[in-house]
Amino acid sequence: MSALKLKLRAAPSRRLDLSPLIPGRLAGLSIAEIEKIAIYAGPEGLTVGDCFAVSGAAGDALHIEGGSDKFDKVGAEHAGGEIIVDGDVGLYAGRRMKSGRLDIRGNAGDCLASNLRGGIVIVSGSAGTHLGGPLAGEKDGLAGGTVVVMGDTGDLAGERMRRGTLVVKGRMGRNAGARMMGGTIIGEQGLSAGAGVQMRRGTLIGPSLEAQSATFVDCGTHELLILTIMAAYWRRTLGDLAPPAIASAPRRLMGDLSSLGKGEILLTEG
Amino acid sequence: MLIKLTGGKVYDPANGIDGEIRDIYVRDGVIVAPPADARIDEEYSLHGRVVMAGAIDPHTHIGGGKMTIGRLMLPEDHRGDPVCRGHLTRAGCGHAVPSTLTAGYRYAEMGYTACFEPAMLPANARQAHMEMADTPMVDKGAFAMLGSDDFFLRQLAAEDDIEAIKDYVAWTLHATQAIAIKVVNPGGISAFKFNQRQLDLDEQHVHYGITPRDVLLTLSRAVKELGVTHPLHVHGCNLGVPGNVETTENTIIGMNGLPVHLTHIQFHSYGTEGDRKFSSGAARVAELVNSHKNVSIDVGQVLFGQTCTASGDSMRQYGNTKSANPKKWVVMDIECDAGCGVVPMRYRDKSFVNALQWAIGLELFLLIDDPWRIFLTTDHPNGAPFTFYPHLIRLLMDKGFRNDMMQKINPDAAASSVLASLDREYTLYEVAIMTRAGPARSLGLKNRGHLGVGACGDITVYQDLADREAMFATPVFVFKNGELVVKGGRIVKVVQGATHVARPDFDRGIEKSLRRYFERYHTVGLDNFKLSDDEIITDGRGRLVIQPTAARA
Ligand SMILES: [Zn+2]
Repeated sequence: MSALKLKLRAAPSRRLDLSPLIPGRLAGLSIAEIEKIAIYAGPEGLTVGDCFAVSGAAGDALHIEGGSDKFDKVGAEHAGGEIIVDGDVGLYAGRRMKSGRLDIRGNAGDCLASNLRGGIVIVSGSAGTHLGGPLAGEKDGLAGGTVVVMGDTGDLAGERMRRGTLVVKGRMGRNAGARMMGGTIIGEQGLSAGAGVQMRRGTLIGPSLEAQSATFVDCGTHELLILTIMAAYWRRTLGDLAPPAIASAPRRLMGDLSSLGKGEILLTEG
Repeated sequence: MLIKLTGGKVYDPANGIDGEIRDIYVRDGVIVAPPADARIDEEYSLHGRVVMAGAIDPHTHIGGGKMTIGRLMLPEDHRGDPVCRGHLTRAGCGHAVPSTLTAGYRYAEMGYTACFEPAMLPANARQAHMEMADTPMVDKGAFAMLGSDDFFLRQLAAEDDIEAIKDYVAWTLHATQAIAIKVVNPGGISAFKFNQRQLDLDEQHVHYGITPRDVLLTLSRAVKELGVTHPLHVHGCNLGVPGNVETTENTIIGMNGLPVHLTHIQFHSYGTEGDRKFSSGAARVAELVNSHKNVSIDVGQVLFGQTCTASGDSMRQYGNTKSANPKKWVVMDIECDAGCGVVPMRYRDKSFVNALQWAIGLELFLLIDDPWRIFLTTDHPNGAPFTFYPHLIRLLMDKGFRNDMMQKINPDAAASSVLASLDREYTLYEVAIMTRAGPARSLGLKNRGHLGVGACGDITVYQDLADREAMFATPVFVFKNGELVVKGGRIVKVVQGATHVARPDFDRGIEKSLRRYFERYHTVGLDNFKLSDDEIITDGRGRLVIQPTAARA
C-alpha cells in the first residue's frame, strides 16, 4: 500500500481546514498539485505546501506526521482508505465519513465523527464534547460506523445517534446518548449522570450508572442473546479494541419515558 | 476631486441616451457638466465598455424580522455557502438568506447601488433599519406595511374620514422612517387570525366587515393624496393560488385609475386550465397592465434551485407549508398587527408547477410592453436569490439561451406555455430602464438612476460581452457617490449607503388618538415605537435622504 506523507513544518497559527486531504480526493494528484491545495481560505490563503512537507505518493493511505488542535475536519467525508494522524486534531474530525479508517494518535476536539455514516474512527487520546453530534439544523448525529475512544469523552457523546457503535474506554461526560434514536454506546468505565436523557430508541451499556433518572424504569435482569452476537461482531471488526465480553445477565432500564421510552440502558454490574 | 469617465457607451434612459459614446465627469460625488479646462484627478478610459447608472432593486427582502427567522431556521443555508473575510470585507455566509454584510457586498459586486426592503412591519421597523444599517455598500429604504393592522381596520370599519386615515398613513411613514406604503394580502393577514383561510377581493373580513377592495382603494388614495411618489405597493389577494389571475384582473380594473404597484405579479398570474388545473394567466395580466397606465409591476421571477420564501402573508404562507423543502417552516403573528411566514422552497425544473412558474414570469416580462412600468425582481429570496439577476437578464436578452433553457424544464410545462413563440429580446436600453431609471422614477429617488448633470455618482461600468450573464455578473467598475468601490467584480472600498425616506405633511393631532390607542393595546409606548433620526445616523455610519413628496393631480 502506497502512502502519502505530510509532515507538519511548524505549529499552525490559524485554524486549518484539512477536509480536502482524503485519499479519495487526492488520488491521481502529483505532489506539486497537492501542495497547491488551499487549507485556509482567509485573505492570507494558506496551502498544503505552506504548512506541510509532502512526500510519497497519493494512494489508499495518508499519513499526517504531527498534529494540532487547529487541524479541523480531518478525514471529513472520507470514503475508503486509511488516514493516520500522529498527534492531535481539532473540530469535526471524521465528519460525515462514509467508509475506511481514521486513526487519530492523539486527542480529538469537539464534534468528532459528526454525522458519521460508516467506517471506523479510532482516537488513542480523549475526545471533546458533542461526539458524533449533528450540526445545527441537521437531524442525525452518528448515523453508522464505529467510533472507539481510548481516553475520555466530553459531554453529550452520541447526541441524536441513529445507528452505529460508540465505544469509550475512559470516562464519559454527562448526558451521553442524549436524544438518541438508535445505535449502541458502550462506556467501559460506567455511564455518567444524564445518560440517555430524552432518548427514543437505542442502547447504552456500562458497568454502572452514576445517577438513575426518574424517567427510566428498572425492568430487572435479562439474559440477552443479542449481546453474545454483538460481542462476536465487535471482536471480528475491532480485534483488540473490542469492548470486553459481558459475563452475567445485565440489569435493564427502559426510557426515556419523557420521550418515546423505547431506549434501554444495560448495567452489567447490577 | 474630479473624475472623468472617458469614451464609454452610455445607456441613460432617464435622459434619452441610448448607447451614445459620451464622457462623464464626476466632481465630489456628483455628475457635472464638462468643466472648461479643469484639472482631472482621475481618468478611466472606458472605450468599448457599457456605462449605466448604478442598479436599483425596488423589492428585495434584506431586512426585518422575516430574514432573521430565515437565517435562524436554515443553518444549512449558511454553512453551504461560507464567505471568508477579505482584506476589506468581513466574513459572512448564506445562499438564499445571506448575512447582512454579505448581501451588501454581493449587491455592489453585481453593480447595484440601492436596495429597498418592501415589507417592513411598523412594529419591526427598528430591527429592519438596524439590519439595513449593517448592509454596506448600497443605499436602502423600506416600505411600511399597513392594511392588516388593527388601528387602520378600525378606522376603515368605522368609515372614518379619509383625512384621518391619511394622517395615520403619513404618521406611519414618519414613525418608521419609510419611503412608501406596502399592503400585503389586504385585510387577509388579520382575517387569518379570525380563522378565515382566504379573503378574495370582495370577501368580507368576519370581524371588521371590510373587504380587500376597501383596503386597496383607501390606502392607494391616501398614498396618492399625501404625495408619496411611489404608489401603494400591493401584494394582492390569493398569492400562489391557481385561478388567482381573475383576482388580479379585478384588482387592476377595480383600482379605477388610482396609481398602484402590483408586486411579484408572477405569483398572481395563475389560471386553472389543463389537466393539472394550473395554467399561465400571463397573457391576460399583461394585456391589462399594458392598457392600464396607472399600474406598474415587478415580476418576482422564479429561478430553479434552493431558496427560502419569506412573506408577511401568513395566510398564504400557511397554505404553502406543505411544500416546505427542507421540511420546516415558521408562520407567526406579530404584535397582533400583522404576521409573517417563512417557508424554505426548492424550485425544480422538472416539476410541472415550478417550471410553469418560471415560464409565467418570463412570459410577463416579454408580453408587457412598457419597460418603465415593469421592474426586474425575483422578490429575493422568494423566487430566487438576487444573485441570479445576471442569469435572468440573459434569459430576457438572449432568445437562443432562453430556448436552450426551455429544453431542460418539464416538457408538459414547456408545452403549455407560449414562451417558445415569444421572439422579443430585451435591449440594453430596456434593461437600463427596468433596473435603473424605472425604479428610480417610481420610488421618487431624486438624482438616482440616471447619469445627467446633478445626479449622484452611482455608476456601473460593464464589459460589452455577448454572454450577458457574465457581463452583468461582474462589472468592471462600480462607483458609489463618485468613489470607486468595485473593480473587476471585487470590492476595493467599503462604503456605507444612505437611507431614503419620504415625509409627507400631516396633522399631528392624530397622535392624540394614537397615544390613547397605544396605551390601551400596544406592548410598546408610542414614543418608543417611533424611530428617531439618530437611530439611523448613529455613530456616523448612516445618513438620511428625505425624498420630496408632492401631491399629484
Ligand atoms: Zn416580496
